[in-house]
Amino acid sequence: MNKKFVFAFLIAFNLSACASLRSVSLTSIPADRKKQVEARASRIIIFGLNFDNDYVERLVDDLKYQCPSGKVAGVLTKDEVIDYFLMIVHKRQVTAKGFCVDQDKT
Amino acid sequence: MNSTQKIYSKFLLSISIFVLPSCAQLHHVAISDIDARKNESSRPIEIKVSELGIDFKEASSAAKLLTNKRTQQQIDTVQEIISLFQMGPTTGNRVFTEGYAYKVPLLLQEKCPGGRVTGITSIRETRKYPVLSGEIVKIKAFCIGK
Repeated sequence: MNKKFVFAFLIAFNLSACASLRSVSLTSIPADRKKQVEARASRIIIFGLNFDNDYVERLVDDLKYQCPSGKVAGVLTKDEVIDYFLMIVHKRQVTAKGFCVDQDKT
Repeated sequence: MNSTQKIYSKFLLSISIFVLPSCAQLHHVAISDIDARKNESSRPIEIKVSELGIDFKEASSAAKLLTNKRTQQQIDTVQEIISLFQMGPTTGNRVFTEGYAYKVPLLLQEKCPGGRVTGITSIRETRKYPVLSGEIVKIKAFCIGK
């Protein structure tokens, strides 16, 4: 019984993730906040080996795709680290949220 | 240190020499407002400014391997004195001139003269090498107009 409990505890401990916030930025928020758009880019990093940060660059294209004829304003950019498995594996995640505003209302 | 430990340390050292030079560390990302209207005159622009950074801890560790005990103590003293003047939050390693990022707006103006810059992605990152590093500020954006 005790062994099973310890095993389950270890599994739960290792699979659970701790998130920490690295940076946040926010641009001017528009009056028209009806349509929200969101894009997310992430990368799993093992043993801290990361060779480039190019995954971040597609966020703008994702936001543009969701708002094809307007302006994305009030952009909140959140950069966070999520630690897995004794911090040997972690995920770097950048989230960008904003409001799609019609061309005339900008 | 026995022979097995020596082999392991040499193995780790050789791996780190090949792997560490290409490590990229992300410090900060920010995205500005994006003008997503379809515009034929919109074109992507990119700017990168960088400065040489030095990891004083790694530098002193490397220097200690090549020097005698007295010099090692002097290196420790110098490192402690330097650390007294290095306070506050930082990203990446120390650089000799902190003004390298100030020219980013000017470079943006040069890349997009008379046009409007939108969809700015600002990335602050470090390229890590043994002892040294490249402290980088990268800007990706779209220029609408000329």
